[in-house]
Amino acid sequence: MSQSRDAVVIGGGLNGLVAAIYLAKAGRKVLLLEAEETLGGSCRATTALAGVRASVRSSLLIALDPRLAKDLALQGLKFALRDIPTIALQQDGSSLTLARDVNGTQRALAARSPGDADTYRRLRAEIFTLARAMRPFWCDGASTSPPDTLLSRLRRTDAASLLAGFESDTLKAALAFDSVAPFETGSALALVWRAAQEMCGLQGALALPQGGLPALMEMLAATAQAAGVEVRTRARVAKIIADNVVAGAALESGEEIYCRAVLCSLSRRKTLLDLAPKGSSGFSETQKLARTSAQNGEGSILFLLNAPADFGSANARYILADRLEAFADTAIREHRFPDELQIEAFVPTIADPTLAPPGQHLLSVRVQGLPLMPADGWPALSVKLVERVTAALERHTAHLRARIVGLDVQVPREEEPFSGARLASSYRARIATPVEGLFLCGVAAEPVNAVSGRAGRLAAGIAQAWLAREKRG
Amino acid sequence: MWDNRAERVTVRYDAAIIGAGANGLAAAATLGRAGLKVIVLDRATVCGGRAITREFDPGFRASPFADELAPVPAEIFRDLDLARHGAILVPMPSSLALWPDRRHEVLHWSASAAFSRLRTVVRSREKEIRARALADAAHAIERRWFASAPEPTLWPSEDWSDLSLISFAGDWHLGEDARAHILAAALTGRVADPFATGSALHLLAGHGGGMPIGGLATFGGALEAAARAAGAEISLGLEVADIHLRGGRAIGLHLADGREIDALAVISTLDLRRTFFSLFAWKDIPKVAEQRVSRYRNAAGRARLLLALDRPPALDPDFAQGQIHIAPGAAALAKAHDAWRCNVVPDEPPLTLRLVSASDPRLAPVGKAVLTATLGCIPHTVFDGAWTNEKRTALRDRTLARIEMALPGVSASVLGSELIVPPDIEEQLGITDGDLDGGEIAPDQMFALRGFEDHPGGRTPIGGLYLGGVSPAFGTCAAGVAAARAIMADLT
Amino acid sequence: MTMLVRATPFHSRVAAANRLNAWVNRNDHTLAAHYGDVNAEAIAPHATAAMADISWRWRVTIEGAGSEEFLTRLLTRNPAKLSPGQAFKALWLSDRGAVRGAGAIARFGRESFQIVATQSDFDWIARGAALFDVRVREIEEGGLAIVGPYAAKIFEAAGFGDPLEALKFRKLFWRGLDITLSRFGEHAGFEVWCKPDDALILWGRLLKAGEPFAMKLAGLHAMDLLDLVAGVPRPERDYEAARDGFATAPTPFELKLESLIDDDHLLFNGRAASLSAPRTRTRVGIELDGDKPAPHAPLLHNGQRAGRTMGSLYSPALQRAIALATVDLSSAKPGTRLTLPDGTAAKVVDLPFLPVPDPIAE
Repeated sequence: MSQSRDAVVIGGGLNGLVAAIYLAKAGRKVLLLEAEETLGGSCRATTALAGVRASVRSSLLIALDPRLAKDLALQGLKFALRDIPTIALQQDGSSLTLARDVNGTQRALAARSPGDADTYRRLRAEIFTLARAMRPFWCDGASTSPPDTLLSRLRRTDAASLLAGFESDTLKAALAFDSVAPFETGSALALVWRAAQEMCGLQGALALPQGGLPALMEMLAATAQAAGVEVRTRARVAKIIADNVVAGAALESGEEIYCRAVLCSLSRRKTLLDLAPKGSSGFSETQKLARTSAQNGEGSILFLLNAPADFGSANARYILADRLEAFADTAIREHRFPDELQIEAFVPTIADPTLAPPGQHLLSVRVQGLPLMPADGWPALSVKLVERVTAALERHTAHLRARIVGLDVQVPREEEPFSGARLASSYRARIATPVEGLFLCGVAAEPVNAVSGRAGRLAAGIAQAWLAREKRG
Repeated sequence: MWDNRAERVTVRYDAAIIGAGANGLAAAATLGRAGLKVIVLDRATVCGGRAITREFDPGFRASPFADELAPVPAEIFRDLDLARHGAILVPMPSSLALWPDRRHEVLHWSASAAFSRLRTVVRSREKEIRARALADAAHAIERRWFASAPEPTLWPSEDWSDLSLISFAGDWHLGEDARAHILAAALTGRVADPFATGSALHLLAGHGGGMPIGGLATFGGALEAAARAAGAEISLGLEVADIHLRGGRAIGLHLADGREIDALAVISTLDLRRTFFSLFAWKDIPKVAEQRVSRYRNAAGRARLLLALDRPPALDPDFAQGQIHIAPGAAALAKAHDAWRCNVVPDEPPLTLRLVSASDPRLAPVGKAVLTATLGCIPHTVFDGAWTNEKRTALRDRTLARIEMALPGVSASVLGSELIVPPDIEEQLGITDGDLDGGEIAPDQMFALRGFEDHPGGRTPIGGLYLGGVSPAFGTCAAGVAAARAIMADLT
Repeated sequence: MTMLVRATPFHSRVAAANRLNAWVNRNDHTLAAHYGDVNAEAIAPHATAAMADISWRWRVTIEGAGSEEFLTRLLTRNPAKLSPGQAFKALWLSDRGAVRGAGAIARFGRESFQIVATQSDFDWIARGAALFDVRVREIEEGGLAIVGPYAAKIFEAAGFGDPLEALKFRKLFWRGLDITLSRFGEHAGFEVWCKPDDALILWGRLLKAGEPFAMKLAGLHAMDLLDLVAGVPRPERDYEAARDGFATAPTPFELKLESLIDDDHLLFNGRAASLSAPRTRTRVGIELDGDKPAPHAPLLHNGQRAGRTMGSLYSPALQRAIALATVDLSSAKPGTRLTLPDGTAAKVVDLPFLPVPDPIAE
């Protein structure tokens, strides 16, 4: 017979831990349930490569919540690299550098097309101005967005249309890469969202934490323990117990745990359709959720190399993106492997050699837009994925195949699908569910899928306020 | 009783109303809602006047004097909230005219375009007349010291004063049978020569107000409820001896038991003749009233035969619930009228039947029936004396025979019956000659000329005295409401 | 777009009696608007009895192991309270607490229910049912309703057996026909449902049973008027039932249907939203001063906008036009005097406009 707790957090990934820590610091009795053997979720260190302390998932951060470091006193959190530029690699071997420094980028662009340089300056200024206005909404959990005509327009604009003013295809594709789904309505806002993020004091920057994501997770795990969070691993939740209000969670083992609030870091769909009682989220909502499932996702490959992959001189994030149209590949809808892959590559060991055994290097690769449920199934397809990625990268870095000593693949998993509505909604709207006392605290509650921790922090705040109101015996 | 005058209790009212029939109760309700202190008196022990239902044979009930009343003006029906007080009026669904040779003509009001138009015309004229009556009443009389009497404006439908029923029917594109049907419908239970000018006025005399469920008593009950809800006091079983006059003005009533009632205004819902000849001492009747009353004519003609039947007659369900006119025709009507004028009971008086239990099964036990027969042109006083039992039986048998010809098998199923002739009506309702219209329907007695000229809205030359009795063409309750409004206008 | 319109199983009899050839469509069925005099048909349910073709009403069966669970989520009252043979009236709401439908829910068995409503909401119910592995099936049968003070006596005369209590039903093998008898209506009457093939026989037998009681055939206009006089709000005429799953209007409170929601029923769709919805308006009866109906017209109180009429018809029994209306709570007291924009006087009254007559016992 389990004793009653204030809150149960489902999922021991970044957001789950953050939520649990904040609740515990607010004086609540928190139990965190993790289905796997270890905490960390996708930020876990790989177990397939000996001596490697990096996650398969790319450690590049764009949106880590700066409040985490402050509130949770994460002393060990340091950045190995801040403000990493992006370099777009083209088929013909040339490259295009997109740095945060607008003047430098402009000069580079002007060399190819003065028109593009101008457009870029204007667009960037617009995006960054709007981004600053949106910060309270996207970063501090404000409940309403500022009234802004540009915002209303971009809400209805897809990134492809926004970028149509550029002449250079490569530039279009490169900028579109970060809008995740450039042909979705509202994806223009995704670019604004990126620009709104502030990490290490820089707006819209790309950074690498020291020790990679696993180090961050270890810090959080320690903080959680210190805060008094009860953690149970190998405890997979099968059902959330609720009538008109949450009552607890039932594990696969049959054990029932009672609590007053549940924070779930899984997707909205999984939480409300699979875990919550049937129909408890409302018939229309249920139908809507069933309808809007993600079709595609991200895959990651971590290569262990015996020598660094050399793409050029800079320590940059490389993206291989030639054509914007590649993002609209129908293959995904047909559950096929796309013809052209959208690849992001980064060598973290140049800046942080501790991630790999001495003398060895890592190549962190992220592939966007892969089908979630391909006809042949992922285990089989991962081989093909590696093949295709390697081939694509080899065009830009010599002897890649020869340098590979080992690799680990993370196939695409179902995550919250991208939608303009999600970007335009408030944290509260994404965190709250139709079931009272049930809150979403994971990536599903973020405007865009990204490693952030903000959702966990804000969900904890909302849950805490709710618990304080609902004083039940 | 007369000696016991120790206590001369005088109670003050704003208005005293003689007669708790439809008009009296409606007047009481109207005045009560306006905040006046009102009392209604009737010598009967129940309210309603002619709006009653009677068990004329054990288990069988009917409204003795009529199955339907004239339509209540919608405005009054609404204002008095009669529906909520229980008055549910079932419209007449059909009318059937039957001839001895079994020829018949049915009209379903909604199905016949010509009859629909005709009915619309009559209804709209009725509406206009009532509106005029109520408007006249509400218009306060200014005391004119020197000015001459104003030009009287023509009443709506006064043009029908020059029209005979025959001419009216002839104006419509209808067959002979249909025209006969119209005449019968217009003259049910009445006295008229369809060829005489002015007989068209009978069309306005109030038909088709709907049959109240439960008989007319339900309607009377609804009015009583409305009056009580308005705060009016109702005193039954109390006869009014006379109207108390002072300085030529009515200031109250003397009751038969010696009590006095003081009132600022008195409404009499008795007919004109009875108002002045029974409520005033001979010497006290004002000259002008005496002259008016002497000119006034009553024309009683209605008799009713109520039949309790062991089983309903075989009737096509299409017209079982409506009126059935037996052998109508202009010639027959004229002949009956001639007989009536000579105080002779006609051989074939106008006869209209209604199987009331078919519309309202409450009136008869299950499986049995109540059939009412309404006769017209039946004289109040037969030339050779009073209505003896013998004469009654003769009329009853003759009528039954005619009914038998139209609906074979009825006579054999009669379990009980009651015949009501004009003197019975006179005695039971206190109506002069038993004339349910309160006076003959004739051009010189209609509209402005019905009461006192120069005194519209029920007013009389006697200050404080108002007439609110039955006035054909005004509809049920309207005369009473008009008198009430006249009082309200005059008191302010 | 033209939709397929069907005749009811009684069509041939209705057509024979419909001497004025007055037809109207409802829920894709062709019905007699009135058989003769609308006024007489409208008054009959208050005076004696009336029979109406109700085959157009929407009926679905809900069957399967998850039926009770599904209906618990769907309805604003708990179906666990029903035993077989019983029914109750309830609403079903959108996710945000808007009224989508209202009807009678009858329990036929442990895993078998039926919903009867005046408007179809098949998509919603089927969609919800799919979550619970429950079968939803629309029923096409012939239905007749008999209403009025003589309805109980006609029930007896027809030979239906023991009287049926309100909100109860039973299936019966009656003189060779399989029928379902129910008392779900608001007008002190009863309903009979039969297979389409048996319709004409049922019609004849009921007409015969009703004849000694002056039963009239009533067309759709008369029945609609009866609903209005009884103060029962109906979708399409009085309000637009929500059809968007996330709609927030109309709320049960502005329609004054909160009595169809059980306070102790915690699980129904849209509950949280309906509890937190603002309660500023309610439904009242309006008596108009005159004959002219005024549907969907603004109502003013002392010159200020106070509400809006819903459906409005002329009532021959009351001899005036009446209407249902949603008005602000401050203007909802019976007796409050309101006006229409054209100056016509309107008065707030208690509902029903006329009480349902007591059944005639003797």
